[in-house]
Amino acid sequence: MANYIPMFVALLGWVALWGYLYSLDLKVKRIKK
Amino acid sequence: MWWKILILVIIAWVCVGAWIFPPPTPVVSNPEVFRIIYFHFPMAICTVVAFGAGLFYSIRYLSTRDHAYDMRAEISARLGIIFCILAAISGSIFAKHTWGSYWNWDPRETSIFMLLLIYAAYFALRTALADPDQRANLSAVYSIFGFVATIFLIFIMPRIMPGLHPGSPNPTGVSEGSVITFSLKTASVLIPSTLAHVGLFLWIKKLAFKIAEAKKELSNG
Repeated sequence: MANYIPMFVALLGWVALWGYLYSLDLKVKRIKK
Repeated sequence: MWWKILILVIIAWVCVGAWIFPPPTPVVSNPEVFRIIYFHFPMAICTVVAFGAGLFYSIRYLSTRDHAYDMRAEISARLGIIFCILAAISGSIFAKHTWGSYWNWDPRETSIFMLLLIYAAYFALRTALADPDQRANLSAVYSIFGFVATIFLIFIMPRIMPGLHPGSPNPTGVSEGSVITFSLKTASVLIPSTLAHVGLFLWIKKLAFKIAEAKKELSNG
C-alpha cells in the first residue's frame, strides 16, 4: 500500500512551482510592454 | 497559455498516478521505490533534450552570428545541467534501494558524472573569455563537441559496458534491454510525464531567455 503523504507533498510542491513560474511569466510580459 | 495549464494538469496527474497505481516492477524487494521512475526517466530525457537544444542554438549562432542564439544555447546548457543533477539525485536514491548503495560507479553513473564535468567545463570556458564574440564562437563549437559526447555517454557507453542499469549488457555481452516491465497503467503516467517535463523545460528556457534579454536591455539603458 502506497504512502500517500509524498503524493500530497509532490502535488503541493508542483502547484507552488507552477504558480511561481506563471507569476514570473506575467511579470516579464508586463516589463516587456 | 493553454499549454502551460496542460503542463500543470499533466504533472499533477503524474504526482497522483505515480502513487495510486501499483509500482511498475513489483518483483524486487522494495517495489515502492520504483515509483521514482516517473520522475527519474523524464529528467534524464530532459537532460538530452536540453543539451540537444544547446547544440541546435549553437549551430544557429554559428550560421547567423546572432548573440540571441548564444544566449539561448547557454540557457539550454544551464537547464541541461540542472536536469542532469536531478536525474543523478533521483537515480542515486533509486540505486540505494535497488543496488544497495547511493553511488556504485556503474557505467551509467560514471557517464553522467563525466557529462556533468564536460558541461561544467563549458561554463568555465564561458567565464574565462571576456570578449563576447570570442566567447560565443568558442562555446558554440564546444557545445557541438559536448553534444557528441552526450550521445556517446548516454546512449552508447552504458550499452556496451556491463553494468547494473537497465539496458546494460550482461557479462556475455548481450544487451538485456529494459528489465522494467511497462504496463498500460505505467505508460499512462510515464509517457505524459516525459512529454510534460520536456514542455516544462521549453517553458523555463523561454522564460529564462526573456529575463536575460530584459536584463541586457536594462543594462544597456
